[in-house]
Amino acid sequence: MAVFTHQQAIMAPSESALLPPAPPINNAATSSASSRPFHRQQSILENDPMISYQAFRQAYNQFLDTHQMRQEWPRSWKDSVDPVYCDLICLNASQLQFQELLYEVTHTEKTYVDDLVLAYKIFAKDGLAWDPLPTPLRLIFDNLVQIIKLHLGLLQELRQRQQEEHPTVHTIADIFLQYVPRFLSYYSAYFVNFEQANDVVVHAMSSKSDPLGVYLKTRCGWPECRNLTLQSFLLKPVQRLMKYPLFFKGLSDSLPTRDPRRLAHLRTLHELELAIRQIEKDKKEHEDHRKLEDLAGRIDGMKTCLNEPGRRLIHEGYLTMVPKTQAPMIRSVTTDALGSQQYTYAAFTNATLRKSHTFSWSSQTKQLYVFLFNDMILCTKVRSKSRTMEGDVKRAYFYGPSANSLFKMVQDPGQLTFVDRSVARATSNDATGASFEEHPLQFICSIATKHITNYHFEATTTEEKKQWCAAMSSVLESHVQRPEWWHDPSSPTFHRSFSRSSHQQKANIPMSIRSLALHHPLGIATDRNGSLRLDGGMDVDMDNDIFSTASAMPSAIFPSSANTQEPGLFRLPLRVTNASSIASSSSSSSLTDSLSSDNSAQSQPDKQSASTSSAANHPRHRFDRMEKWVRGIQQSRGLDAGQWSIRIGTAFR
Amino acid sequence: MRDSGVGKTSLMNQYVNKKFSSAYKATIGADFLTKEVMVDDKLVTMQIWDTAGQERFQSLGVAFYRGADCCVLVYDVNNNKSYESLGQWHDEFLVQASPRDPDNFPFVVLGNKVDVDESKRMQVSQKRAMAFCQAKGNIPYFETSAKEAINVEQAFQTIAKNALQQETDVELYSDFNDPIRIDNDHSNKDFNGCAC
Repeated sequence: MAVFTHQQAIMAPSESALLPPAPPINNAATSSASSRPFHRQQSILENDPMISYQAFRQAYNQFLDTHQMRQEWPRSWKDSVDPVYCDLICLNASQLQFQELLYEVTHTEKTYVDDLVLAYKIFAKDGLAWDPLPTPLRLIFDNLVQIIKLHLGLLQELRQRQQEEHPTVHTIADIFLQYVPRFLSYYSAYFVNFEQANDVVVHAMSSKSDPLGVYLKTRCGWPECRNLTLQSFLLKPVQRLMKYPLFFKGLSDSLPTRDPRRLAHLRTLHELELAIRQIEKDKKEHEDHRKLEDLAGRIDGMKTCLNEPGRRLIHEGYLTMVPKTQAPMIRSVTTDALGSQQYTYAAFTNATLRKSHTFSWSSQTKQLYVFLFNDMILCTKVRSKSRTMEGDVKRAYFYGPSANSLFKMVQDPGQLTFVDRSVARATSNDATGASFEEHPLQFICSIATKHITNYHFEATTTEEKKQWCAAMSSVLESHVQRPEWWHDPSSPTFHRSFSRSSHQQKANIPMSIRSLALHHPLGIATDRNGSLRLDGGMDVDMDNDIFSTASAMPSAIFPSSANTQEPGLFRLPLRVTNASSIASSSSSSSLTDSLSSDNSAQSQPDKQSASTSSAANHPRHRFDRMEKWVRGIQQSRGLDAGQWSIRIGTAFR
Repeated sequence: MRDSGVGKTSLMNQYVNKKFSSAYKATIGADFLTKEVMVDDKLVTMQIWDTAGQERFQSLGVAFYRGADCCVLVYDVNNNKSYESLGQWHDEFLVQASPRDPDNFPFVVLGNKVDVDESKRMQVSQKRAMAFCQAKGNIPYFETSAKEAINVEQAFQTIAKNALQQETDVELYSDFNDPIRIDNDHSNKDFNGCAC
């Protein structure tokens, strides 16, 4: 009771006016917090500081007594040991350092627990009983309880070790090691909720009338709070967690190299760091999820759900659509068997013919804001209107150019099927000896929605183009997934089947080609000897260079050295018996242009040969079908060789 | 005995407890220290947070930077590497803390350990450090020694003053003694950077 009178003396005299009659004081002081939630709730709203303060004091004193937290500890290990004894055991410098560190861990652990308990008893306990407590804060308070329990246990074990082995403790690595898994789960939850809880606190504290703010501010004034705000207390776990690796680094450093304890401490250090890395990861994932959620609400006309599990943003930024009048020049890349690449640049001499929808849909330059996700790409325009936020809580995390920009969808979300950085431009105007170089800013990518559309983009800097191209290339695999029935050439079994037995080759490969044909009735067919045939009169053989020799040889489709460079990709080289139909429509550019389901047929001259006439009559039809499984054309080798490498895949999952 | 840090914790200790201990160097010292200071006739409570240990887990440290009123960058004048990373920490802080007005956010740079023998020290010349501070928008620069208590008081007084200026813009706790959080960021990337 001495404490009580003491505390009453502390309370400002003016507050005694607020005191309710005597019985309720005793009542509140003696009853446990959990048994009277309704009363607690009232105490926050009615701002009855005396009762709650006394209840707190009692609970806190009880805690200090139960856990023997009251007595002051000596400042260092040396001070805690009898000087005579200290001389007797004569530790060398690093042994002394080790003991001091161990002592510091335990000592600071005590302070830490004490502070957490204060935070809980001052802010959280009554707060949790208050019904309208904002969820983020409720979560963080719940986490706080878990963390306190965890560290009380840890502290108990550390002290026990200290007492048992007094004065020199042998090791604490084992104690911490067994706590690491719980560190991971409790702190992970804490970090995940921290930012939002912090925002709630900042927001509440900045308002003068907010009941939560008033509550928090009143509690800050309690002497035990030492003038610290709730935010300061909430930061403690953040700070503490990251100190443990420091301790263990120090501990292992102060042990001799051959000491087995050194290894044990290093191991604990490693486990702690792994756990913190994981917490870091968890937190980032949660943040990304929140950002995505936020972004979804800012895009106009978004029909599908943006916030799908597993979706991540890879890259975002402004890109300029190049008007179609600036038809690009295309670089064709030739990869020889050894994998080295040669570039040839070709201008679109028939650029006028290509005035189609392939490169953009407008003659106007358009500034787009593009979001590239791991599974889709979103082209938007930033609206002139921006979001108005209630309150002045500053958003630290957001997607988009600014926290409040709003977007308009420009096209349905689609999948990237192809990215070509090799748009060329002329370096001289000399008509005869024009030379070309890769355009430093422009690139082309194909996006599949219902159709494949080619986008001709311009970035603002070379560096940006590089980033975009790298990001886009990196997601190609996840955007476009091969159909399940397709043999994955990168899988070990696939390779083995080729290298070991030619019998297997025959058995396996035509199977997959046949299944291709089965699934895409119009696209492709195999004839009896296993060679590929495209419907519509275009015969396709296995190519000499990479696979087997003649068409009579059945079809060992074999990844060449060039192919294996890109694991997971199966390139189907097709030799077009008469290349004119494809060649004339696509020039030496990527075939995807002509697969874009635009009117590429119109651009074809009328001079088709007999063998391809049927195909030429329905090129659009054919290409429509093809785009469903052709992901992109990797390269071309000019008209004569007519070799096309086709990535098999489907844009439709 | 082991890689010594730039002296953040020592600086804090010297300032708040007026003590420098070379016998046993606490690994982490206090999580934070508080001190009441008079700034322009106003009594303010200054909270100085030690960031030791957080350098390696940047995304978790964010929580810590946000809401700070001043950032103190400390480097060791005898350690060129610790100076080199000043700029990086400066930018890093602004990105992580995302203050309302990044251009005018108060920083203070401290070149610590000037007490070390002339002949061995000064890998980083005063001139270079001053030039850096000039370039980053006239950051106040102090050469300090936690050991000899050189300039420590002055440095922290400046810190308090600049932090208070920052704080008055925000005006969060007008009814209270303004608690000012001072982030003791540090410039040494070394994991042992706290060993001071």
